[in-house]
Amino acid sequence: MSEENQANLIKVKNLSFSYGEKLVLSDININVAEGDVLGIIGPNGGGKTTFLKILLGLIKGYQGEVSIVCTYGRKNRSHHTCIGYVPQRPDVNIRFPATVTDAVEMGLFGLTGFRGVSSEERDYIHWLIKKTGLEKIKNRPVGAISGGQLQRTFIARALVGKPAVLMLDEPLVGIDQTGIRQFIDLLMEIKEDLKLTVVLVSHDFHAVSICSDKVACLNRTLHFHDNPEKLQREHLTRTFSCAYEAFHDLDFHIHHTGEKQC
Amino acid sequence: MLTIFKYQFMQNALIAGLLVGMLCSMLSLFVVLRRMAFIGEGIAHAAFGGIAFALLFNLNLLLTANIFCIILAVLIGFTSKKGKLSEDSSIGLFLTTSMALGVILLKLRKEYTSEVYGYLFGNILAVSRSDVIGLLILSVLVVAFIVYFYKQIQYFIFDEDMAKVAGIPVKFFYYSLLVILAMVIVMSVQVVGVILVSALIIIPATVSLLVAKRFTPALILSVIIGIFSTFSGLITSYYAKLPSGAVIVITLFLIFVVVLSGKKVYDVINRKKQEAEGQEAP
Repeated sequence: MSEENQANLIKVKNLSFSYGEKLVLSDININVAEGDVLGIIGPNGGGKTTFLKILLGLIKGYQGEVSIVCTYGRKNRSHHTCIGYVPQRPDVNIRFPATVTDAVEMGLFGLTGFRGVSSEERDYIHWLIKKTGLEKIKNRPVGAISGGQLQRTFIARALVGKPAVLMLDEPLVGIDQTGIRQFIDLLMEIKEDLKLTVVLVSHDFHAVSICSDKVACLNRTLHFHDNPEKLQREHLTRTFSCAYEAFHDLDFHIHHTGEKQC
Repeated sequence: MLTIFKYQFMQNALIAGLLVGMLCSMLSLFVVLRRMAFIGEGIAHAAFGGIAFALLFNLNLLLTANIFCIILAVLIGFTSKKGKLSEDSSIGLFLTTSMALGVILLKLRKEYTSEVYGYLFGNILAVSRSDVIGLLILSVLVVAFIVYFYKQIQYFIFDEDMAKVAGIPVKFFYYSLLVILAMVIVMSVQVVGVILVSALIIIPATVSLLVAKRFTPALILSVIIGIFSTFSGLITSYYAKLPSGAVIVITLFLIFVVVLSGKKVYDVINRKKQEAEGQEAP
């Protein structure tokens, strides 16, 4: 839970970005405190992925200021190694001859340069594989595992470089309610173990609201950015530009549960 | 000593064949996995334009074709990355234009152009000692590049977006692979020809990926297949008095058929074995 005196690890000030003539993000101001979970919700095409890609340094030419500070002994590390990223639809070549362990190890290739993987790093890879429940399939080719297993492989790969921030883009797509619960439990466990700051993008506001310290409703501009307890139906209606039918159980999910479930 | 090794031209041919087999099959895995196979085809056909240009103006053939193909390879990469054209359209555009340019340039040439057949389908007799030295230098450079950037290239091919996030210079690797591919194709043209060189770029990795489950074994197997097919193809073509390029490609195809059949049989046996074990289990 964020506190007033907690250092802001991610600072975004007056951020605007256009794809040609089309304004995608307008005057975004977001701060994420160290150790917090920021949930970003919004409709498709609302600029969520663009926002993440700007944070990742994949998109340049924006207006405003974006800064990410590495923490927990990760100071003086480059922007790239400070962030672990799990993309929405990884454009990986499934025919690539690599086992689950190989795929996780690749997350180190931007860090290790030309040296080999140390025994300490190898131990950490095995710990991550175990933690993400991939132990039994660690030697299986990535082309022969399920979508959920592949997603966990990519989470382990994103964490292998010991980042300060973990960013996940729509990780809940195609997962059933039980799977979502398990996924969030795993995410929170990893967050605590590795002292991570998490940015979670999803259109599933229920899942986001139960595990986030702060929620940002993004549809070109920010319609809400605060504790999920303060999130009201009108914020979501404005964000999604319609009377969102699923909001009827918003009160149950946020207010009636008293506090966040995780 | 076999008669085949007595002649200087056959020694050149065999060394060149081994180097071409190694280079093409090494690149093969990167090209197939990065889905650049059609780019290889495009560059190979584009070489025809460069060869025709060199023949018309009596320029150094390999140098001219190299420059021509490198420019085209970079243009293909640039237009498909930056422009509004898809990669396929971009390759199709440059491939056909370069071939058409080659035909026009050859028509403008007054002299008889019998050697063009050799460049189209390979003429092992035309490989000189200086060609072998050129291939040797290129082999050293390509192997050094791949060994040095081995891990980074792997990540770039597996997941380009995430490699970029990890700070790997993906553009550098994309254009470097295109340039290396262009140079290897031009240097291979005399052994297998413009039309058939793409087989050496595609088939070795296609075969190795049928059986190998990890990257390094797949690369080693691809190189073994490339070297074996070129070497055995050259020897067969010498004794059977057949065009070397065509024999190498047929050898590669036969290897593909044998490995694919073997894999199918292995899969069937393996499945039946698992079913039998399943029935035996209480």
